[in-house]
Amino acid sequence: MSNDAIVFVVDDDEAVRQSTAWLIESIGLKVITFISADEFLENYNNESGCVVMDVRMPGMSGLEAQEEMKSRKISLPLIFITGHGDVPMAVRALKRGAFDFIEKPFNDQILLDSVQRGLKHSDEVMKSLIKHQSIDKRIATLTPREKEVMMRVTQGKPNKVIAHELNVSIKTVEVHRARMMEKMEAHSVAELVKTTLISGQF
Amino acid sequence: MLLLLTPRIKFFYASLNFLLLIVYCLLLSPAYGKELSFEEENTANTITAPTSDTKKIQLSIGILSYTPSASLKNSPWEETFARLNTHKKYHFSPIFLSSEQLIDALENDQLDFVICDAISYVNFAKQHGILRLLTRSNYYSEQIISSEGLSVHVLNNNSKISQLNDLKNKNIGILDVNSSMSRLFLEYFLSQHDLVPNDNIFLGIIDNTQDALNQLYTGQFDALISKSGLIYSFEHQENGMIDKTPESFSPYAQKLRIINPHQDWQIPFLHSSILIPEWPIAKAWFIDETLANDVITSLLDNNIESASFFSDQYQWSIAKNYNAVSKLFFPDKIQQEYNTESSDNFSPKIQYWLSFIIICFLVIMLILHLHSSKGLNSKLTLSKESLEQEIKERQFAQEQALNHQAELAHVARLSTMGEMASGLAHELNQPLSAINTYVQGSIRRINMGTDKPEDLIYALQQTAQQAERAAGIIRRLRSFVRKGESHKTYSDINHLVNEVNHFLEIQLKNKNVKLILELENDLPPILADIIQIEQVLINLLKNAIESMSEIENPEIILRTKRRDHNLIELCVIDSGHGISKDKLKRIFNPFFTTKSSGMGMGLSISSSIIEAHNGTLYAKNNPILGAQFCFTLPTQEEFNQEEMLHKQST
Repeated sequence: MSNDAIVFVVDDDEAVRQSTAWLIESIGLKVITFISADEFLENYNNESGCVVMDVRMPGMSGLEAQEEMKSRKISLPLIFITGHGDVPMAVRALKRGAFDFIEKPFNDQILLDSVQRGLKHSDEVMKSLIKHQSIDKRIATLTPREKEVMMRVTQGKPNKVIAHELNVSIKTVEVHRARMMEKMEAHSVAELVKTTLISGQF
Repeated sequence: MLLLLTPRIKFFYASLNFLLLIVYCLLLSPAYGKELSFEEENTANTITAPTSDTKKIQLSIGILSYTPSASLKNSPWEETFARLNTHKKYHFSPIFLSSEQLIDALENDQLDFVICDAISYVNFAKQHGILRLLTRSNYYSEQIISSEGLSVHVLNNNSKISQLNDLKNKNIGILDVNSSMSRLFLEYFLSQHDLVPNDNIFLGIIDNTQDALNQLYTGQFDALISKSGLIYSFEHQENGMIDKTPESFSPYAQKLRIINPHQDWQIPFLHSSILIPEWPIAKAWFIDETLANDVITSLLDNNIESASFFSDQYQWSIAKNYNAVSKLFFPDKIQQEYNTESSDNFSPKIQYWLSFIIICFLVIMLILHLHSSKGLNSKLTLSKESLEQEIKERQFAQEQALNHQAELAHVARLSTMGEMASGLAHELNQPLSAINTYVQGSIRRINMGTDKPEDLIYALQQTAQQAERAAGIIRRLRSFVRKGESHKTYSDINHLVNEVNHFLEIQLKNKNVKLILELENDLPPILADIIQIEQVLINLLKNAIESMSEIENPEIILRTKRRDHNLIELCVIDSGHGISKDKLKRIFNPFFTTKSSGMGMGLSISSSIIEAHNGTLYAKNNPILGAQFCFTLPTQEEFNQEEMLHKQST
């Protein structure tokens, strides 16, 4: 969990907003409060952390904000708090990828646990994202022939078959394969398969 | 009253006549017996009827005479009797009687007819029930003279006597030819001027005109009293000047003058006394109508031409009315004269009885009226009590109605509250969750040992504030659903609008309705039950919100403004679909609703609340979009004026 993770609290009711922020701050987390979803979206700048948001607000509602975040590819875990949540609303929110749905007045432990899980999740997501990005970088260094070889290697094909399919000599395939493995930082075929699976490109 | 009585009087009169008839019948038989027995002793009596025609039934006519030796021959009665005796069945004989003799004869029913002076007649009519048939009269220039008057003559050069009072202690000559002057009338005439014969006046009776005039000229008499016209007619007879008019006449060649001269249409002569009717011929009570008719017809058959001037013979004309004489001479007594000429006038006796009965009737009516008014009074008291009772009941009913209205409003508020329950729950939830969060956060910090006093104080302050906020919501809620009668306070309508705005914040937020407040500043306060007005406003706002559930960018304008000098208007203007015309007429009716879940009481109750505040609630469509509901309320200023007026009136 990175220390610069921020909890964004979005609620139109000042008392609820301030008290929630105060609670979250009590476990030593950094909190930024917003009076509306619009204000949050305007000011968000790809910080990591999680969002605690009221469902019903004047202007953009919580659910609308969720859609907007999706379309802006903001992958912060979204914890909804609501004073009069009903089951259909909660189901809808969760189906759309909300991290949690908590009813007011909430138990502090439940909220804080949820926030911490959210932050952890966010952290993991961030890490996997970084991993993803490095794999993508590695893949980007491959020549087209090497990509072809890698694709066929992950499919479990022996060098002889690959040479046949690519209509080159076995020797050439072996050279490409060695370079490809080096570039992908893979020590075995199994490791290569795992990396390519994470990237999801193949 | 009298109009009502008239038939009764007639009935009474008729029955009285009937009674009298019965009394007559009862009296009749002994009266005849008396007459018969009288005739038996008739030989001893001085009165003897002449019996010229024995075949005819004898009838006697008593004639009042002041001279004892009067006879029919050469008297003015000759013609009268000549006419009467033309009758086939009856023979009429005159009996000249003095006043006393006449009374005696009448008492004994010895006379069939009576001829006497007017005064005696009214007396006899009263005493003996005689009834006049005709009145004696004379002719002068074809005028019938049937009135008797007295004239006092003095010599022209007699300056001592200028009025009737001057006759005192004088010698007066009374000229009475053929006993034709009423002596009772003379006595009455003299007594009217305090002249008492043989006391302060000296009378000498003379029956010859020429002698009388001579004695006047020679001064034996100071004055001469005669029947009016007597001396005049004598003069004319002497001079043969028949066509001289009375106006140009001067008594006895301007040698005489008349004292206290009067003129009257009844006689063409100057006279000193009043006029009374001439002598009547009257029938006795037992003479039947047929005979009376015969007498009348025979006597009325006059030859006017033959008697165009004062004739020696008496003539007869239709009977005069003797009522005046009765009244004059017997004013206090009950008169028994039956007046056939003027049947409209009752005899005094009947009048007396009638008036007595009327008075009795009136007294009875009065008693009855008093009695009934007593009853009416008690009825009035009763009805007054029942009226008071009714007023009380009505007041009670009015109070009940007011209470019911308040109760209805209360129920409606409860129902509104029910509909708004989730919004209110959310509203209350906010401070509660804030409190919860602060407290739990504080505990957490203390447990973790990361508590700083200033942080905890901040949290506690916030907690207190939020508890206050929650209490405020509860207070508003409680007062809104408060039961009981309305009590009005002076309040600012804009403040009320803001309160309601708080109330409906959640609802507006949930439905994403934009509320625009257009409040006019410095509005005068209204005197109103705030809760009820809030209820109306909430109702209107809720309706507006619900009407725009399918509208994009729903918007409500809430506008307060002053209308006229003493009215405040509040309008809720929505941007919905508006109201169709047929619904617009019915929206204020109870149980009319367009909502699936509504009771249809909201607007009806709102309307009654506003009316109870002397305002009006009305709805109309906006020119472009949506509808508006407005209500007016009178301002405090108007209430002040009303209170002032009320104080002044009380």
